[in-house]
Amino acid sequence: MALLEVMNVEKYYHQRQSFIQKNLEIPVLQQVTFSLQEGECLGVVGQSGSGKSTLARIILGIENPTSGIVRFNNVNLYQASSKEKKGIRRDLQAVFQNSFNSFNPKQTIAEIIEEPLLNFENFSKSERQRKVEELLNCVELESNMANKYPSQLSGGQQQRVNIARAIAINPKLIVLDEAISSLDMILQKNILQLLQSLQKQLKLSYIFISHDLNVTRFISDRILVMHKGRLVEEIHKGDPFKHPASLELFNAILPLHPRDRQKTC
Amino acid sequence: MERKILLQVKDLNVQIGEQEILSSINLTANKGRILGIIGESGSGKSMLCQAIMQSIPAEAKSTGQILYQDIDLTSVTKERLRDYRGRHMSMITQNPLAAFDSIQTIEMHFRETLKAHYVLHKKEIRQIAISSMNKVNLPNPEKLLQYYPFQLSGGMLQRVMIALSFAMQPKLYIADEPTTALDTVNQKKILSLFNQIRNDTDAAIIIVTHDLGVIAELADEVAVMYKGELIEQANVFDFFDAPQHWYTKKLLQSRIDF
Repeated sequence: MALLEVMNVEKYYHQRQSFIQKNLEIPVLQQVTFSLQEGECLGVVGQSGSGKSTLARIILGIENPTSGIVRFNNVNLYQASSKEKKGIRRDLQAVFQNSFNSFNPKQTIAEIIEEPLLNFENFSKSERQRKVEELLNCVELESNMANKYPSQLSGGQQQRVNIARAIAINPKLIVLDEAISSLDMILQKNILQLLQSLQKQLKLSYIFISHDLNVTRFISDRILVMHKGRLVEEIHKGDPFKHPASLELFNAILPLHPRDRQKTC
Repeated sequence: MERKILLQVKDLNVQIGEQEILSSINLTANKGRILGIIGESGSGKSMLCQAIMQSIPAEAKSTGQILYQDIDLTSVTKERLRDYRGRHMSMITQNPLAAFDSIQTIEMHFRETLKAHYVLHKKEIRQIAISSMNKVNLPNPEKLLQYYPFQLSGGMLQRVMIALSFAMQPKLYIADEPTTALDTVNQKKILSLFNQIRNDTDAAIIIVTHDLGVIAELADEVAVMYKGELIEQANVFDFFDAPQHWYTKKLLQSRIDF
C-alpha cells in the first residue's frame, strides 16, 4: 500500500491579459502521476520554474490542483472531512527553503517546537519541556537554545529547529522543499546526514525537492525529474539518466576536483 | 608561466566598532587568472570584496593598502576612484534583482553605466549593449533591451549583469557569490561565461563562493577565509590535493561524494 498516491494532477494558473481578451491559462503541472512507499526517500529535481514547488504545495494541501487526485494514507486529500484532515496534518509535515520565514519571530525556539505538541498531544507543561529538550537533542542542538529567538540563530541552526518541529509529532512523511539550498556546504552535508539518521530512527518518508541533482541523488532512493510541469523521467538509485532534461541537470553537476573539469567552449 | 600582478591587497584590516571583520589580509590577483575565495557565511568574504572596491560601510574603519597597478586605492581622490570603479574594476553581486532599478529598462541600465564613463551616442551604446549581450549568450538581445528587470528570470538577469560589466571592458571582475541564487543549470552557464572571459581577455577575475564545486570548476588560485582571516592560499591543485589548514580539510570533507 502506497503512503502517498498522486494521480493525474494538473494545475493551471490564470493570467488576465486585458478586459476584452480571454484569461490566459498557464499550465504549471500536467499529468503528474507517481506514488510513494512508506520509508522511502523520493527526490524531485528540476530547474527553476519546472513546477516542483507547486507540486509540493499541492501534496501539502496548501493549494488545490485544477484536476487530479492526491491520496495520503488512502484518504483523498481534497475530499477529506475535517477530522480526517487533522489526522493528515499530523502525518504530513514540511520544511521549506527560507528557514527564518517559517517562524513567528516573537516566539522562542521552545514555543515554536511546542506548537504541534499543543495542537495534537495532551501533554502537561513538564512533559512538553522534556519533549522539546529531547527534540533539540535529536537535531543536535544545545538545550539552552530553547529560550532564544529565531533571529539569534544561524541559518543552519534555524533549519534544525524547523526539522525538530516537523518531527515533533512523529509524522509519516516530511516534504522538504529546497530545505538545504540556502545553507553553505558544510552545513548542507551536516543536515543531509541528520535527515538520513532521523529517517532510519523514526521510519520517516521524505519527498526531497531540489534543483541540485548531486544533493538529491545523495539522499534519495528514487528520483523524479520534472521539466516544464511534467514528470519526464523516473530513476532508481544508480540507474543512468536518459531524458535530455535529466542529462542537462546531470551535466550541471560541478566537479569534485579540478582535474575533472569538462572542456567547455 | 609568467605572472602579471594586477591587484595586491596588503595588510588589510577592517573594523566595525570594536569588532574586527577582516584582519591582516594579504592577497594577490593576477591578470588572466581566476582567484577563488571560499569561506562560510559570515567569514568576511563580501566585506573583502567591498574593501577592494572601496565601498565598505561608512561606520567601518580600514587600514592597509589596496594596490591596483601599483596605485594605492585607499589614498586616491573620490573622482579618481569613480574612474577606477566601472572602467577598471566591476562588481557582480549575488542578488540580480536587487542590483537593477526596477523602473528602468535594460537599455536604460546600459546607457546609464556607459555614459558615466564615456561620451557615447545612443546608437553606439545600443550596439555595445547588443554585442556584449551576444557575448554572454543571451538570446534576442534587441528585444531584451526593452524589458524591465522583473520580466526576466534570475539566470537571465545575472547574465545581463555580467553583460553590463563586460560592456565596460574592466581589467578586474569581482563576482560575489554570482551563482548562489541560481539553479544548477543556470550556474553552469554563468561559470562557463567567466571561463570564456578568462580565455578571451586579459582580465583578472575574483570569484567569491561557499561552494567547492565552483572552485573546482573554475579557479586557478584559491584563498580560504575563516572568521575574517585568510588561512590558506594555494594553487587550485595543491588546495585539493594537499590542504594544510584543519579548516580546509574539513571543507574538503563536506563534498558530497559517491
